[in-house]
Amino acid sequence: MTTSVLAAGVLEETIRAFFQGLPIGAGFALVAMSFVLTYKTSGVFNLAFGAQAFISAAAYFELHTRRDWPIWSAVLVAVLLVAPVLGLLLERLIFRHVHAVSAVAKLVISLGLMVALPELFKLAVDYNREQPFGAVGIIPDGTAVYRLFGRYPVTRDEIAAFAIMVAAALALAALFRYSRLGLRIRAVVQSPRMTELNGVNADWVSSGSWMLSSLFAGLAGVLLVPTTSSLGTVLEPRGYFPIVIAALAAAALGRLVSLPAAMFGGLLLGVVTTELRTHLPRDNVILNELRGSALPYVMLFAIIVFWPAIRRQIAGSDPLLGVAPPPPALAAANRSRGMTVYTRIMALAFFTAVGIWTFGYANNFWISRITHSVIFSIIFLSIVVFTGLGGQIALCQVTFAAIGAFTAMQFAQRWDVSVIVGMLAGAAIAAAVGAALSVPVMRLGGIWLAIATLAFALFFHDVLVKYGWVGGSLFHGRGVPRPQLFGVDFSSHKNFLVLCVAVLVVVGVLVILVRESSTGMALRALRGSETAAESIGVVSWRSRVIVFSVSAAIAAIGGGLLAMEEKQVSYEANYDPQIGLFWLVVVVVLGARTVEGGIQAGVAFVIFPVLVLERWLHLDGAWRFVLFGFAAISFARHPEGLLEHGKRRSQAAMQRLFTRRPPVAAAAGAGGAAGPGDEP
Amino acid sequence: MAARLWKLTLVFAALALVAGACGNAGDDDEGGAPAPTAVPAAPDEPEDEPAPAPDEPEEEAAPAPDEPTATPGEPGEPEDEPAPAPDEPEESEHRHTFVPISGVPGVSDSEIKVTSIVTISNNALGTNIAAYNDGIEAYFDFINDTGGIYGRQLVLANKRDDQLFQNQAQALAMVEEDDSLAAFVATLLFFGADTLNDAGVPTFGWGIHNEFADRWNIFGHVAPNCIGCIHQLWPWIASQVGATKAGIFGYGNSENSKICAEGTRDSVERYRAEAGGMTVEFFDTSIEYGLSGGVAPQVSEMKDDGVDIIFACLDLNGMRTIAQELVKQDYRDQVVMYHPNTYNHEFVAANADLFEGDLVFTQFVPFEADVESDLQEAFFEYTEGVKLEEQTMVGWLNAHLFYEGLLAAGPDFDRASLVEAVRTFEDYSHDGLTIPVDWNRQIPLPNNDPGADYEYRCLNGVQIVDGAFEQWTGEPGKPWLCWETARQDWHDPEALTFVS
Repeated sequence: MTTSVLAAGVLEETIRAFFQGLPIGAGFALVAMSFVLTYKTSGVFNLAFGAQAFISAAAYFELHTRRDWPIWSAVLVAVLLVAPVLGLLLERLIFRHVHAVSAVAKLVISLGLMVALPELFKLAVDYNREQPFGAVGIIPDGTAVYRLFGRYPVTRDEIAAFAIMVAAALALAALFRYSRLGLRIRAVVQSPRMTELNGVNADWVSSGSWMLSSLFAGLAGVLLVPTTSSLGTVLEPRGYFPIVIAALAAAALGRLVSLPAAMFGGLLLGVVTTELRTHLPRDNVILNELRGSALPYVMLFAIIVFWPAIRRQIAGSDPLLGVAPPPPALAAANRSRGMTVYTRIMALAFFTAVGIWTFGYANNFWISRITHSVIFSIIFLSIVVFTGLGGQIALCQVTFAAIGAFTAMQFAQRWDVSVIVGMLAGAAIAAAVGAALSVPVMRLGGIWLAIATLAFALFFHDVLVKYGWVGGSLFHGRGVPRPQLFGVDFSSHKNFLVLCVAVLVVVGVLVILVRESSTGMALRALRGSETAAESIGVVSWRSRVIVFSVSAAIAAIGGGLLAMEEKQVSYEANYDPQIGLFWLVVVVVLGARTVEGGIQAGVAFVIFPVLVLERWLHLDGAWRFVLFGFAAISFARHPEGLLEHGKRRSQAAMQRLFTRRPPVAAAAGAGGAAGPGDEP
Repeated sequence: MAARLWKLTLVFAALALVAGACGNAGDDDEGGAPAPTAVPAAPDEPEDEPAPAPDEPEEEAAPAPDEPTATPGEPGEPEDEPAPAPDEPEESEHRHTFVPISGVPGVSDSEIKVTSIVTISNNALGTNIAAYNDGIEAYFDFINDTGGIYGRQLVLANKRDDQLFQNQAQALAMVEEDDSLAAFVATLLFFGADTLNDAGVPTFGWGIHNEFADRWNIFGHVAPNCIGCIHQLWPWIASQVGATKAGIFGYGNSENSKICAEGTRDSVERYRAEAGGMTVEFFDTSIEYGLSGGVAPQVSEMKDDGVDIIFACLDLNGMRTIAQELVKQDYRDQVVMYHPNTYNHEFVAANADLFEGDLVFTQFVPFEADVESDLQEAFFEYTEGVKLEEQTMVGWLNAHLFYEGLLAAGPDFDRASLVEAVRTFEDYSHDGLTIPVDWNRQIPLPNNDPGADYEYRCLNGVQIVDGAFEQWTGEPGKPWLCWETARQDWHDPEALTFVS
């Protein structure tokens, strides 16, 4: 075979892959543009986008597939009614009131909505009454095939998605460039008050822009159903997650503000993915991963970390960040001595009562639940360190927990070494991974740091876990024994609970020591102004590496204990990155700044669904996602956490009652009213 | 600096002390992986003559061209059919004997209660796993209509929702509530296996997970299977449809799927000469579950390579994605697809054009098969009006094994005696609806212990015609095509029935 024939073959394959990649890229582009639209019109990095898209798609599915409505009427309701109304509600009820808060606070709110909205919709329409099976697209006879240039096949669904994507791009470009509405939308995003001074009703413009972006989300949702394999068969919110992640990479290319860049980024991602799948050899392990699921995550991470435009945006963003006020003092810091004694006595009495009940009366189910609470408290302390102390959001704590669990398993299974040693080794490995990860991402901060860490978590989940040296083998089980320590056997539920409580105490003390140490002080200084902190001798990179490592190690210790408690690594149940997003929501809602907050979050995460929802209220377990998800909205108003906020209020009331003195926190005004722009 | 060094030294010393003082609970001194859940040594364990590893290539593999071939649809040889498997336990004369029992969970004077744990909500597969409960309840109705057992009615008292992967907590709650004699489990993953097994709860379930192996108290609707073992089944199927170029898929992020795909590839390569010079033209285990990026490049490559049969260790949604892309690239008619997990009538009817002519395989005698099984007849009678799913039959089979175990345990039963009774069943086929299982022997995964494999490796399949299933394997009355597991030379399967 001559070289020219080979070259012609490669060229033909390349052209074919190009046309195969375009429809996939059109899907990415549509979602990426919707992301950008939301960000441009609201300033919100809307991770709930996938949830909004799902709701429109599911509404369409419910009406057309299950209730036999004609396509046009189902689309009309799902896209032109449900989606804009949802956007309007989100703006009126939530985002209007958080306009001035930090981007990180908005990210947390969108995370909460991402968790809550699909579950609420599913409960409202009883979506699970049958399996969501057999969704079809909105284009009649959408699977009909045409041939571009007589040889490259493309379906009518794909043509429609592509055409709508192009039309949407042109319409949006025209809107922002030429129309008064576009100008007003941009003006309202930057400064609603200034815009109102010019006689523009900022509220209505803001509502309109949310309706528009939500309509786009809905449109993307229904259009993607037939062109995306996982959605065309089972319409579940999880199906949108990979698309949203890939689209994030495309949107990042345009720094979240450039619609053309997002569009071309989406198309490029689709084409590159297909080209790599066509041309990369299969016999190379690493390259083979790029043929599979790793590519979007690698690209997302690489774009965020290395794309010069993003670095410029970070350097030039938010000039007020440098003068952000420090977070308000904790309630405990303003407590009178009497109140402190009283609080401690009450706490002692409470824990004594719980201890007596647990060790005297509780059955193994409840002991196990309490042990889970303690372990999740430990894991959540890692979020306290990173988010509460460090003031940043990382979405990969679940990965560090998985590293701890798998290391404990590997040590026990491969080398018959104690799981305690394995757990500590896991903590060391996680700390090292955390430190290594912190180097490229430490300058990012804010939402970019969150997204970069999410990309890392997804890479671990989809790529690394399947390797035997990481995730073990199902054929030999992922069993993890309980430990023995100093001759004490911890195989019983009660003994193991004691061990977990001891670890929690040690980790809690460690967190307090870090908080009070020079590293903790440096972190507080860095939250206010990195430049100012460095000017007084704070070495920012060292503090960030330490906080990354410490929080990773804590998460790994918790992950190791969780594996021991369950006697196996239940990876899919406990360590999925999407579960990690929910962890973050729970912790920041209840209180990410204190050890108590982390512990309360751990207890609430485990006990609340069983005790309150299942046993008392007899509600579906999905309600926990709805309740915690919507509670994330409170984060903007109470970044100290709901429990800390409640503590301040009750403390003020108690002090008024007992001392008849104005409470210090209330008098200071800092207690309940964290200023806008507070980082967590 | 010196102070820091001291602190570090102290920390390391403390860690060393801890490391030196700790071990694993239940350790033995043998080292290696922790032993699987205790499986009592079966008294009549086979002698130490393990069957040859099924994935070891054999030298004397010779085709047997003269042997009669049980081609699908052709009548098989009437003679020299192996003796049908011995019956499952017959209905005992003491079935209606009432003996007062106390202290056995879930057993009262009028009822025997059981609990199910099923993936109902958040099921990512889209199949109706909840139909499993229908199968159990239908079987219990069948028994209760004829007087129940030991003077008691069988009741599925608690239906717990696994809520996708929450079955360990559900299992623990069930164990602690202690109000059920047995558990019935149909979940997408089975994290609660050890919880149920360690508590001695007789557990019956959808036996698709590795956790159904190595656990004395747990029984699947089939025995633990040898995933990835080399076998002539795949090349034989290809030879029957005249295919010679195989394309093989497995999910890279699912170990079972990947190993299944590798086993299929190795099988085709092992028997390539006997199967008419068959080759593996395409092999891909890099695809991810959900196939969110589609499979267009893979299908183009298969088309370029002239693949004419696809073996895919995928779920039904993945098969649909491949079929759609084959249609789009105008290559669907040139390929037969082998579906291991698509026995779903509603799904196939909805995708009739995509799957026309494909082969679908089941672990039990499909509803379409012509077989003289009283149990299947009763199944149809008692599930009338119920939408039938694969899981309906699985629930029915599980309930049948539970009932037969109770009968064998006798009227003064408890959890342990129920399990012991089931473990005495050495040739148990659910009245011919499944391949016979030796529940006394088939406890470990055959991948790890070849001696625990089935005596026969059997195939039961249907073909998709106009969006419906038609029996493809065997012959009327004999739906199974079976190879002796111990024989690794290329030989034709025999059409069998295991109905008593």
